[in-house]
Amino acid sequence: MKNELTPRIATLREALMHKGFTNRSKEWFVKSELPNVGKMHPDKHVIVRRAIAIDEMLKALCDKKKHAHTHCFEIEDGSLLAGIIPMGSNGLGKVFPNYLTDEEIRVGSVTNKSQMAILGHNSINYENVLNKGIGSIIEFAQSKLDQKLLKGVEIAYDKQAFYEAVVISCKAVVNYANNFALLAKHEAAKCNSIERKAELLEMARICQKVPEHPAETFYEAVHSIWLVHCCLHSTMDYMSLGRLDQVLNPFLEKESNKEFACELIENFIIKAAGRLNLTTQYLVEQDHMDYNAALGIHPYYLDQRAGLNNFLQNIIIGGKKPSGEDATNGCTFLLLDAFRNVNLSTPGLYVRLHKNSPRKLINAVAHSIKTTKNLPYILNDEVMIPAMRDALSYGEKDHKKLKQFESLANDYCVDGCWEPILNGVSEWTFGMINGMTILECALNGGAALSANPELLRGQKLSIDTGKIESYKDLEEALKKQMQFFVDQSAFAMCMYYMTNEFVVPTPLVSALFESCLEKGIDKSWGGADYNIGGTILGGVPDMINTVAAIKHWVFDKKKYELPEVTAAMRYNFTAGDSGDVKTQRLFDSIKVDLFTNSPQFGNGQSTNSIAKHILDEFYQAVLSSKDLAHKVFLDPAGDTDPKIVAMRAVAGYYGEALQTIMPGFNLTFTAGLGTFEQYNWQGTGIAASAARNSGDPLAPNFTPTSGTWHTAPGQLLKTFHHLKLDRFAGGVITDMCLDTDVPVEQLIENFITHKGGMLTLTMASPQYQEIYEIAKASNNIEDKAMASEKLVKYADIMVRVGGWNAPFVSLPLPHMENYINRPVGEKN
Amino acid sequence: MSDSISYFGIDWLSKKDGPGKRVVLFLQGCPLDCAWCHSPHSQPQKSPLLYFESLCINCNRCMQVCPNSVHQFHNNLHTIDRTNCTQCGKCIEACPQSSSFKKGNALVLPTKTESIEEIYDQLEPQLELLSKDGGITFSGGEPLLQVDTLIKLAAKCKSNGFHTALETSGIVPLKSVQKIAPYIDTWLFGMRLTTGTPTISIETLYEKSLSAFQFLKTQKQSQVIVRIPSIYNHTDTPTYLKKLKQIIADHPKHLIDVLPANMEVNHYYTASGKTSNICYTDQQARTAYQSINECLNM
Ligand code: SF4
Ligand code: SF4
Repeated sequence: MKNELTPRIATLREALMHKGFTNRSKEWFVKSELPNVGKMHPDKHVIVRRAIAIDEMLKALCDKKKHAHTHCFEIEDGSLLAGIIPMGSNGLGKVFPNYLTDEEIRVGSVTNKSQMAILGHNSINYENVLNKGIGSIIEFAQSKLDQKLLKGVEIAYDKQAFYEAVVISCKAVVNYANNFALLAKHEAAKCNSIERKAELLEMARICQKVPEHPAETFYEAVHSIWLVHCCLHSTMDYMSLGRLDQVLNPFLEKESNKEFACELIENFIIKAAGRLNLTTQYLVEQDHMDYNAALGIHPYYLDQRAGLNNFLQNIIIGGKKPSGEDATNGCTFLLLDAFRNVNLSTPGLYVRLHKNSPRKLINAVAHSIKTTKNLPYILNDEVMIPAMRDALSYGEKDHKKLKQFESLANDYCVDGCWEPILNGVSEWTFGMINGMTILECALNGGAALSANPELLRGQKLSIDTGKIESYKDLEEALKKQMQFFVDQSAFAMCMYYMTNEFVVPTPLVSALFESCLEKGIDKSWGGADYNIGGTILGGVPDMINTVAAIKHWVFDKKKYELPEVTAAMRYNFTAGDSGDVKTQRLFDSIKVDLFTNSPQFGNGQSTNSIAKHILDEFYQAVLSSKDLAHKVFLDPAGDTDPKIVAMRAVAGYYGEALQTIMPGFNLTFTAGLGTFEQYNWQGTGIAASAARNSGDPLAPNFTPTSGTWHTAPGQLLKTFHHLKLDRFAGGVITDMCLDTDVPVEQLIENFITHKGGMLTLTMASPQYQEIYEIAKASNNIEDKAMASEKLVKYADIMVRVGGWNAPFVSLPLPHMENYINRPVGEKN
Repeated sequence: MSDSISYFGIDWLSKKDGPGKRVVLFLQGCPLDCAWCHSPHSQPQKSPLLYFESLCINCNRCMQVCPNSVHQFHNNLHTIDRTNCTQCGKCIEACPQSSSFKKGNALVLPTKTESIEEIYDQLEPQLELLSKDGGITFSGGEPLLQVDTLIKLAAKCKSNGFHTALETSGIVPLKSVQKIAPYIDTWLFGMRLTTGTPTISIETLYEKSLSAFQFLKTQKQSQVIVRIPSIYNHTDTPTYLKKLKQIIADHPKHLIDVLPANMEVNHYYTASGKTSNICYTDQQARTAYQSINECLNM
């Protein structure tokens, strides 16, 4: 276990941190310096245009003239890897050649579709790239094209165009690598140091060979993955890295110099983090975000600042093999060591653990968390495998298929955020619903608890589920509202496939998905073997706290009438100008009871049954949506059933069933619990609730609301045991921020045995407050550059922001505030 | 309640109350009134209402709801006269700065009486976390005042594999010590050869301490850690130290802990509306600590 960075890695890391604090806005590509493929080839199929755009982008990356400002065509001093991803992130957007025609863009306004959707939320299984090389993919696609049998629309999509696009985009990748081979050779010729010259020549050799050809050594394998990752992330496909310990271990076993192997991975991490922005000073200039939705058909709003350093790239280690045996290997430890040594906020590292994971691995994970204060994150196989297996098996009886689902579930990984997916064989899309909106609608007959008098009872969002006179009524209303919102989200996912993805086809990713390539069907056309649609429910801890408080004070103690409590929530406990003293007193009293005198999630057993009930209702609602969606949108039997045809029309769809258009297509529905980075935003517009003022953030992911966790971590772990989390294949993640000296090894073990789903641990820093003060002052009075300078020394403090880790210094102020109240420990 | 225990606090992770990392349950009630006691509210059967001025926002709500006019405000100064307080908890319920669910409140009625089951269910999840490197410590107050029910809780903890420790002064009927001994792994023996107050005679203190200590020394299955508070002018006097040496002369040095004086001794006195009987300076506290250590050759 090595702890010290080599001089090479230390220098590369320092250079990155330095760059992160500078103004990086000039490094971005300018749209006008890229060709307009839509205008150049308006008659070509959109997937071919996308492939040409990929080619143009990769060429632009290697353009020496553009390099003068983008810095994308160089080999950093000392780096062992060539290839640079241009600026861009989930929060800041991307620059990419235009490939849609003007008319397509205009028509896409209806469904919020444009070419600028950053696609991610999936991962690549790099095994094929390493073992066969991209050259073999080109050959395969070419052979399909040579058959000349594909022309025509076999199943509504053009296979000829698909394979043509695969060939163009894969060749673009090979050319990109070869351009770096030439650059390395050129640099070597100029280089005076014998050692560095040899390194550059070795890099030139490797980039000439991979990813086109199979990799043979560890160095070649890592370089091959890096180059493909660069190409994907440069061309709008923010694909995650998948189970790299499984993919790389056979190469590592052949590598005799393990120290070099570790250094190489450390280099890889620093390269992948190359887009970091550590100062928030120049963000507006870097905002390249587009209006469109990457997911579903609704506009997808992001907390852009929170996502400014999110690149949707994770590495998964450990866990089980498809056979069910433990998958831990030498490369698991190598990756863990490298991440611990480098300690950057990106890529993310997830370790899969199960009850038979080697003790040595658990100890190494705990050691890493203690050292880095937050890495790696933990996935519990005991929960995620059965959840995924059951979601895939829903309605399936065929024994052989069930067995296959078991091994697919054993091989699960997570995407670039935290949603569980299948390893390189699934397409994932999701919809998010806000639990507090659902609760407001249950309390207020389908309307939000808006304070705006123009809206009378409140903004009408859902069906009227009637007046609540008993706790039973509340449960009933909650159930119906839950179903309404889950349906809305789940059916929208069907519509996503029904809008026939002619806007953002993904030829390069599809080339790396075996089933898409075999079938000649793009991933965005439903070509992946498995298509998973998750409904993710946010704000659950707030729902639990609020229902618990209402139950206690309204229905059990009968201290207040429900309308009094909902009025207090609606008006944020303030009677306002017209309010009389009596009302204000009542609201004050309700506020105190809702804030300090009610049981709160995570602190013991008192809220467990309410929590379980809410989770049960949500899970059932998802299953029920799946059944109806299948009947209406997927099953070909509906094509001849006038009732179903009418129902499709109600949803605004007039076509055939998805399984008619795409035989073999199925949509696996999963339920998940979390918020990603959106907990601040999801609270905006939400009325006051238990332990929350109007508009305050909701609970981050499935974690007790900030400031409401008063007991020890052990209590929360025990709570998981009661909630049956092993049905939430959409993921259920808890972000603990600890200010306590609990033994991390034991905490991890108990998390596994008590069946928590996914866990991130952040060891609280005593410096949150002082960083916040500097950041806040810089917003108001201070010179921003001066503040940025003051923040440099805190650059290594990382925290979890719902879906990923971020340097604390780069967070928006509300996220910083949230963290200051979060830590749980002896002082609570 | 026959199967219940009264306690006034839980510390979820302490590194100073026994081996490793420990959950500490502080039991209510104490037969002594040591002058240096820093939890005077632990001594009666039920703690008085505690009031922490720094957390109060002077909102008056406690005064509005209190049926017995305990809370008063004069020129915005919040005063409390506990004479008629019935501990009904109404003021805490009304107070925006107080919660019975968490620590750090303006008003507190810390004493809770709960069944062994309820207490165990609360402790167990955290004990599971600390089990390999610590366990449970029963402290107080004097936990042995509730020995009959405490035995059941200690037995339950022990039978579930948790290491148990108990902090006692030994100034209790010897039988109490004997009864619970099979369920205790580590004794934290807080030697009280003086209390600094006249409630119990020095002779009785000596006799009880000696007999309890001698009994515990015979318990081969458990470990005894002697804990000596260093209190200037009380536990550092030549007479005290002479007696102490007589009792613990052959006790292993690594099992003797001289505890530095707690400089926050006034915290709970102020909160309980009492005044502390003791006062020492930093320098005096250090001198006492040093001289006890020197005397015991630590
Ligand atoms: S506990 Fe009851 S009697 Fe005592 S001060 Fe509070 S409200 Fe008054
Ligand atoms: S209710 Fe609480 S905060 Fe208000 S005056 Fe009384 S003690 Fe102070």
